[in-house]
Parts: sequence; structure tokens; C-alpha cells
Amino acid sequence: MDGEDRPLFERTLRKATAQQTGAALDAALDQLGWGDALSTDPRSAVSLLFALQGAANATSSALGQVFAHSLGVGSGTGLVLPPIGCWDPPGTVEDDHLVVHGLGPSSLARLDSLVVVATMGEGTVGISVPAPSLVLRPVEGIDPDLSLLEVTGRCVLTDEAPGPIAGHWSTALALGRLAVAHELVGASRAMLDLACEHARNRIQFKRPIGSFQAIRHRLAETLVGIDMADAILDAAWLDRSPGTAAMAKAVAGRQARTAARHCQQVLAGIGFTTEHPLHHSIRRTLVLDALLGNAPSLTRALGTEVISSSRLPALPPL
Amino acid sequence: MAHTWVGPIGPPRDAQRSRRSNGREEPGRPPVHHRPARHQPHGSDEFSEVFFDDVVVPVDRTLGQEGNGWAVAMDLLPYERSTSLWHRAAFLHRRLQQVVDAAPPGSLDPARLGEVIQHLYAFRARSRATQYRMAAGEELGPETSIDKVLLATSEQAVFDLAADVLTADVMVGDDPDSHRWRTEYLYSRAASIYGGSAEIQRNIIARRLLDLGDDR
Repeated sequence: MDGEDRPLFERTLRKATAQQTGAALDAALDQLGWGDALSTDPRSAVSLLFALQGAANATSSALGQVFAHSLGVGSGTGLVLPPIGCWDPPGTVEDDHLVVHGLGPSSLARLDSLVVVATMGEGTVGISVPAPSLVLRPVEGIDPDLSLLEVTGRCVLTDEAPGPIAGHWSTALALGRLAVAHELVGASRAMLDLACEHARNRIQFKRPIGSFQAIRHRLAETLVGIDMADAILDAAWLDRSPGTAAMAKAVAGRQARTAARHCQQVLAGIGFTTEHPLHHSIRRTLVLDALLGNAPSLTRALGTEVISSSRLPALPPL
Repeated sequence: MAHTWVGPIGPPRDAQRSRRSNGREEPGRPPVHHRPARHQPHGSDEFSEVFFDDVVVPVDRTLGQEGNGWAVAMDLLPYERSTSLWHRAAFLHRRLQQVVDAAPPGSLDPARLGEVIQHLYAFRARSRATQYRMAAGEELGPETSIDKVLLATSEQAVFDLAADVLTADVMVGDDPDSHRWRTEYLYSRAASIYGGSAEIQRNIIARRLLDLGDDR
């Protein structure tokens, strides 16, 4: 995407995510050709949509589409994602059974069949499963607005042997982690905007509270974290390695928790009420951090790998 | 040394104070003289106070307007932050690899090591973007305070880890390697002080990037 296309695309996405959510946002994304953009310019499609979706606290089926696109399975919809906190494929083939434990957007409930990526022996396969043979539980959880479904089931495989998938799970996972990291950054920026506005307008001791260093330094620290996540995302798009994508997801998750803590403290009483929108972003970042591996588990995995190999990952070159 | 950078050690208030101290003339002292400030990690004199007593400086050798040296320094600092920091990340990466290599078995906490790596990596990625902005001719400004904060936190994280993992070397070792770890650990404490302290950077970020106005 070059020249004037990108700002135009961004404006269209901004409008769609600000006005629509859920099924309506899916329809809007279809109409504006987001799926085509995902094929031709994945970086623009993923980074722009997910940052805006995070900022607007909107939901869509786009994360499943990112996985499906990378794996080359299904028509783009109906893909089951790993369960919360996990990152292995959501299915396992045991003898002639498929065991499924995963998550998905509410749009899965409207489909006749779902696509489950499953581990089978040493390989990874994609299996189309009729919806009635799976249990879809609407998730309330800490962020009910996310309208997730928990997908579980144990079903007998039909005679047809499951087909191998075109792409690699690790590549799809990396792209999915970049998407969620951008969404975390978008939600963090939204929290920071709310807190800064409050810090400028709220007067205490005859001064805006933003003139007190205790407040300023918390908010400055929040911006440092956000920009840090953006920088590592930039590096991850350049090298496209699963390792850098995992680092970006971990940094984005950790800084979002920091942003939530600082912004909630600055917004104080009003930020703790449901009259104020802050709680939506706090709830969203908690779930997004946990999705596809939270910051502590990804960070520990990185440290463990470096200790066993004795090799630090190379720094981004010029 | 071919070039010496002479800069203010603080805002104009400090400059006035040092002018007053210049009034105490010592006979036989050269008109340009300096007082080295030994600082603790190296025992070397990396910084010194430089005094100009009755020195005539040609007008074409001045930068900016008279009395505006502080503003010139503030404009220059973003450029210092941008280029020198790039090398610093490479240095920290090499030293962190050496911590991993020299760590006694079981002494490295994977969660802590992972976080230090991520921090250093993000610092380098940020610095990379700044190099490209400068190469494209963009004017660097207050956003380089983010680079400086990332440098300070990365550098201190790397050497905090070194001190906790290579404890015997840093605390009681007297061989050259131990001496170097110790020196660099102590010097890393300055990373949140030199080139604009951690507090100054956060105030710049608050005022100029977050539009929070002045802090008084």
C-alpha cells in the first residue's frame, strides 16, 4: 500500500471501528476489502485494523482471518483459536478422535462448520468440523463485551483423512501475535488519552493535577512503554521471525498492564466507576495479554531458550 | 584530543553561579583552565568544569546568540541521543551475551533474563527508527527523550543482572575482568543522570509529547 492509499485505508478503517463492532464490523470490513488488503499488504492491514480496533474497544472476527490467511485453510472465517493463555493448535487427533479446546469470536455460532487446526502425530492438519458436534459456550468472563465463545468437543473423525495445511502454525501464530500486540497498543493509547485529558482538566490544590510530577511521571512512563512496544513491533514486521513476534507480544502485554495501572491511578475515583469508559480498555487489555500467551509466560520461555542455547537473539540491524 | 566539547552543566542559573566563582583570580593561572571532576567508577576525569577568564572568543566561533547557549545545547542533545545510543545498544548486547556465557549454572532466572533481552531489543529497535528518521533529514526533538529513557533502563537492567549473577566477580574479584564488570556496573548508575536525568526526560515527555503543560 503506497502513496495516498494508506491514509485513505486508515480513515476508512477508523470510521468502521469507531462506528461498528461485532458482526456489523465484520460486514464493514468485508465491504471495504480488508481481506484483500490482508493478502496484498499484511503489515498495513494488520497493524492499522488492530490498533484501531483496540483503541475503539471494538471486536471482530479478524484475528481468525489472520490465522486462516497465514495457514491457507478455510474461507477465512470459522477458524478456532487456541484457548486462553495457550498457543498450540486448539485440536489434537487421538486415534480416530479429534479433541478440541479453543476460543473464537461470536460469529462462529452462525456457521454450519468450523475449521479446527489439530496436532496429529508429528504433523499439523486442518479439519472441517460440523458445528453441532462441538459445544460453544458464550464466555462472560472479565470482558463480556468481547463476546467470545469457548469451543470444546470430542468427535469421531469421518472416513476422510484430514488434509495437511499449507502454512506453518508457527508463522500463523507469529502473525496473530503481532495483531494482538497492535490491539494492545491501541487500547493502551486510548487509556493514556483518557488519563492525559483528566490530568489537564482536573484541578486540585488550585492546579491541574497534570502539573504534579507524581502524575506526569506515571503518564510519561506509560508513553515510554507504548513507544517501546511500537518499536519492537516495527522490528518484528521487518524480520518476520516468530521469536521477535513473541517478544513484541510480551512487551505489548506488559506495557498494557503498566498503562492500565498508571491510568487507573491518575483517573482515580472517576476511573473506577462504570460511568467512565476506562474500565472497558482495562478489561480488554487483560484478556488480550492472556490471548496467545501472556507476557510472563512468553518472557520466561524466551529466557529459558536463551539459557539452554547460550545465544542471545541478534539485534535488529540497520 | 582534537576537539573538546564545552557545554553547560545546567540551565543558566548555574552559569551565573560559576561566573561569580570566576571572580576569585589566582595569579599565574592560564585564562582557560579546568577543574577535573574525578568520578567514582573509573577513577578517571571524564568531566571537568572549564573556566574562561578574560578570554576573547571571535564572534564567528560562537554558536547561536550570546546568552542562548542553553538553547543551543537543548537543540544539540537530541542528535547526541540519536547516534551515540545506537552504539550503546551493540555494547550492551555484547556484555549481556558475556553475562549469559559466564553465569554460574542455575544463577540466571529465565523470566528476568527474558525481560532484559526484550528491553534491550526494544531500545535497539527504537534507536534504529531514530537513525532512519535522521537519515531522512527529519528534525529530531523531544521524542528522543524516549530513546534516552530506554537507554537508561536497558543499561541499568543489563548491569543489575550482571551484578546479581556474577556476584563474586563484581563484589570481591580483583582480576581485570572483575574490575571491568565492577567499573561498568558503577558507571551504569549514571545512565539515568547524564544527558538529562530520568526526571528531566519524563518532564520533557509530559510537557512536549503529552501536552501536560508546565510542572509548576
